[in-house]
Amino acid sequence: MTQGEVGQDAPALGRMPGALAWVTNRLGMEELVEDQYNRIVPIHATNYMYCFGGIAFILFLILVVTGILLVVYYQPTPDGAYQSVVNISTNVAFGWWVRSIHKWAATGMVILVFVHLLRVFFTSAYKRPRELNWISGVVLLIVTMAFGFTGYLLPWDQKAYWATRVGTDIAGSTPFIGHFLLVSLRGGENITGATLGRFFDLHVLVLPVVIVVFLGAHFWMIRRHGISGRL
Amino acid sequence: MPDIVDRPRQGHTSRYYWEREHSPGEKFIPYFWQEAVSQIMIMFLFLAVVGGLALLWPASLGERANALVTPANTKPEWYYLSLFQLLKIVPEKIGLIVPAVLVVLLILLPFIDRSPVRNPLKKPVTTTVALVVIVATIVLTIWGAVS
Repeated sequence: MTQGEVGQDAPALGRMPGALAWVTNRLGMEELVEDQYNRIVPIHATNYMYCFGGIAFILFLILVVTGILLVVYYQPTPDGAYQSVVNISTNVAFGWWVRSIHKWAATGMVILVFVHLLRVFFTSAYKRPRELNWISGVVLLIVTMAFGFTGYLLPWDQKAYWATRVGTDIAGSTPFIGHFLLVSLRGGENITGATLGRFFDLHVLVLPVVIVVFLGAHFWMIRRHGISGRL
Repeated sequence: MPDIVDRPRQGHTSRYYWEREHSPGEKFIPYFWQEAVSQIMIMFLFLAVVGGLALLWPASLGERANALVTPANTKPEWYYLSLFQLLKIVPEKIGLIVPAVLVVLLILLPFIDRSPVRNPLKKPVTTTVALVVIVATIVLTIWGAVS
């Protein structure tokens, strides 16, 4: 290979700030970082149709930050939950705004994940060699929906309680495993503090770990496969 | 104007599958910084949009949960409305099987549609099925919202 034949072939480490090059060298990640630093994008993919997944990710980051702030004041118990959300909405400085941003970003993320799915579908970007990336995307869609379902109960108001009751009833009507599913989701026959506890656990611990793992795989494969060709 | 690169760079990146996907003569631009800057601007735009929506329409909080008082019209979040409405209008088993089958088909899609044809207009079956599902979902969501 002839280095420097095209401008982009120049070794990236030489163009990096010294400190960054040093860290990269000591981490033994020159090749990986160089790949990212020299990244090129086909011009057809700079179209706005190709930005939905990225925006969904931006909204995810907003959800992480606002979620971390909300957990500071939220109490996942039947007695504490509603009161702590009232506290967040009325007493905590900008608490109402942080909570509202969390709600809007969640709505936006669901919309953009669906729109991103449609873009990938209609440009056939799921085809070889991107099969596994498509599947990781479907998992991310399901995880996003699960985030919505578990998060909806947390304020412990009437809408939250009854939507969860209806939702878990639907899961309970699955053939064969229905009752098992219902009891597993609710932590018993009814919606109680046990339900709130496990929904909270799923929403702030389990699902975040799952989504970070699958986002990592999703982005890694995008880097490896590149953006699919023009139609 | 940014540099325009004529081809994916050569050398150790030849392990990338995509080099052979791009039509000859297709142009590329470096990600850093032209494309990165436009992405960062979109990021700030969306921060402003979400912050603004939250300012104009803050999240509501209803009455405290009460297992003894059933509200008049219980509805799930809007993105579950289509499923909810489907369950209302068809027998329960069908209402559960249809979405389950759709999810399985969605996961298996890359193995079902293996042809190299990528233009949606040139693969009418996949496109028609998708459009039917999309329209049905939208109709059921609206139906669920107004009923």
